[in-house]
Amino acid sequence: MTTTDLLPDADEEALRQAVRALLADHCDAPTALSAFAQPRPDFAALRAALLADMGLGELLAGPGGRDPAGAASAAPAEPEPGPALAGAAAHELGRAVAPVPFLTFAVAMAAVGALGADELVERLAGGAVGIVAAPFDSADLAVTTVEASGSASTVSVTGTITAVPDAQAADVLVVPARCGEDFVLVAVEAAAARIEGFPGLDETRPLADVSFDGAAGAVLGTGDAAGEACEAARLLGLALLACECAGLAERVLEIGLDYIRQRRQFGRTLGSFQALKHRAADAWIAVMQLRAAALAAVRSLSAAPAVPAGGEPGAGETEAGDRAADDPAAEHADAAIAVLTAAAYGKKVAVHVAEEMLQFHGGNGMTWEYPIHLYLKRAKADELLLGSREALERELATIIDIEE
Amino acid sequence: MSPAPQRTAAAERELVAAAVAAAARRLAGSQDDAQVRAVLYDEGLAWVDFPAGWGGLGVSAGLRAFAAEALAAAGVPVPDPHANAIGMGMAAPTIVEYGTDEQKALLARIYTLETIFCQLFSEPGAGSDLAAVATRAVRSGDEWTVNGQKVWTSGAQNADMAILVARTDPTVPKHRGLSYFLIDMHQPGVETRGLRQITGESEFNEVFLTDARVPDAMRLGPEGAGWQVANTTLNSERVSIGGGAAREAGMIGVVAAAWRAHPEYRSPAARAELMDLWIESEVARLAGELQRQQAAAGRPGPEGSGAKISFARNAQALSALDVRMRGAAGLRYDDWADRRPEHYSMTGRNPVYRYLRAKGNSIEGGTTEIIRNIIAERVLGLPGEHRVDKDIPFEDLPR
Repeated sequence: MTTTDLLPDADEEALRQAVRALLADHCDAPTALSAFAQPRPDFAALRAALLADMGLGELLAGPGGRDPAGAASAAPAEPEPGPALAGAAAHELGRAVAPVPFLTFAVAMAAVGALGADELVERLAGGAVGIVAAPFDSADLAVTTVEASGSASTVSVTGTITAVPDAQAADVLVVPARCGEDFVLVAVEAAAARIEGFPGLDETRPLADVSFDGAAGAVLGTGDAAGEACEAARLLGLALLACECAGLAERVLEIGLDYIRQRRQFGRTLGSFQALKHRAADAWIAVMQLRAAALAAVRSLSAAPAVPAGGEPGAGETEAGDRAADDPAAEHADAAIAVLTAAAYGKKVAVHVAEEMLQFHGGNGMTWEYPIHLYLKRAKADELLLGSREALERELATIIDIEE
Repeated sequence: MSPAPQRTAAAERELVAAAVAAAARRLAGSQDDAQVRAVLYDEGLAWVDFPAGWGGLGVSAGLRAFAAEALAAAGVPVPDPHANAIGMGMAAPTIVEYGTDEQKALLARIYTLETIFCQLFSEPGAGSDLAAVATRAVRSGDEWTVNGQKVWTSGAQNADMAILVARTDPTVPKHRGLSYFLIDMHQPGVETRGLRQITGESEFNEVFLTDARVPDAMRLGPEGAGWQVANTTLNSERVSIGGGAAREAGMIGVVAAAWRAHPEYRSPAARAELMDLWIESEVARLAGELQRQQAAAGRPGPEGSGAKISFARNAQALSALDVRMRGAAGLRYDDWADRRPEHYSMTGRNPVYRYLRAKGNSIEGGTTEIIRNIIAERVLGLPGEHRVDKDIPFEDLPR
């Protein structure tokens, strides 16, 4: 186990401030709430402002990309935008419950990037949105029922994937599929798919069923390489989810604290009641721990190789802290431990703090007007994104040898 | 701490490195603890953030860890930080801030273990409400006479001196009538009795003060300022800047090891519980690591205030699971004899001991409830508790 540097980083802070400023101007609570309107706005302008204009899309593209506009002043000459920078952005997007497909896009970009599909990377970095066509709660992106057939480079795909997050915002779908005995990742134009949205708990990350009926697709990768790309993408997604949850929990706590500082009953502010003070203190501790864990997760991904070298993560390991720092498989296992810990904890804390703050609001917490429900809905849905908390804990248990 | 001349972080490090080199030169490989301690004090490496001449170099407290690493790298044995813990961690920072030169002369004796300290703060009637101490100190000439009872004093049986908070003026409200003393424990008016705990052992003491004497020269800080001085002591208790903890350090490591060694303890429900606590322990460790790094970089944050709450909650939940998951075997105890352990470990002995001892974690050194109040008020800016007694003379309070 290597000790992760958890001190603030100037580039991350600059990007954080830039994203926060942009969201303050373009994504206030009424904007986020409008995700629940019928018909649902497409938020194309907000998406373009963040992904294309600010350069978050290029940031996710990796070292080849230009440094994001917001970090330009503080960035060194040759920036290496990594998971930690993306985590800073995700934290802010979580604070605003922004209806922007950043996390899901990051997962797709990571998969495409890991396979070296430079042409598609460039297109996505330029503003096109890519989404992995996998169920919202998929804990293994390589599990698929979609069938592909055709040549080594071009295939046609058929099948249905239910409850895909952010699919309606996609220009390109990255589709995990089976091609005979092989696992393949295929790029399919969203226009060639049938994408049917349906109302869900959290409309800021909307769901859609996606189906293909012989749609044309370009093979991005096959076999182990495609599987490892999915794994790297999923780990990045979980780390960013932890950051989003940290931002969400931090902000909903602020909202709840503001409320109990002002609201008076029995001639006192609610915040003077010890029953609430103690719950607020506990919520603060959880948020503070989550921030540390989420930061450790993205920083450890920045340090670790994207894919395990020589077998399963943590295979044969018995002691979580007992590995050589220069062993790539050990580093990968270390990163997986950090990511799974942060994601499982983030799922627990975000929903808990949102529920607590709703209760702090009393009757107002039940109204459409107060923004608490936006946070509750996002947090509750996030319990399932990229695998349930229980699934992540089982996976973590295997790596750290807490077997049943 | 007293203001140090403005130096850059690099200059401070150089200062520490030079002191370490000088100490290593003087010690020339000696491993003798007394000699090592004397030289380290002399070279300003006892507490690097203390002023020069009083065991320090006047650099930032964040460099304590750096100094320990540099000493180890230079082959100098780093003295056990747990020896004379009350003297080192509580008495010394208070003496250096408030002490006269005569009192500060104790700093060298504390570091070289010639004067072992204990703490006489809590009383049967003053636990969380520490400002309610009723032990009386009455002055006659240059001497004070002390009468009262103190409790939860660890190490009193081995102590040479104590830091003492006593009431010197009962006619003013409770926070204003206290004074702080450095009292000799070796005198007829001081009686120490072991205080038996739920574990069966006597880890702590009760101390009875009957016409005990303390010279006015050993009053630390102004008369009536005991509360402010005591707060310096209590705040020092929470500032510990050491190395980072490893993953699975502490209670989680003990329970995880038992789980790995004993397949017969396992069940799906117990595993879910253990995994939840593993994650809770790991995120608490990471928050501590974040705090440690910030403090070492000279930018301490408020994160530390939550650490004790998480530590206590995790230790209690883990030790409770440990007893339960073992079935009847988990009930076995070694013996209930009244021990007086010189050294003890909260992760030692057996599951029953750990379960019972962990109950104290949310009480000792500030209850979880008091810490929650402190976080709510000082970190989150929520209103303070209603204090009915803050303007009433101590002698008029219902007790």
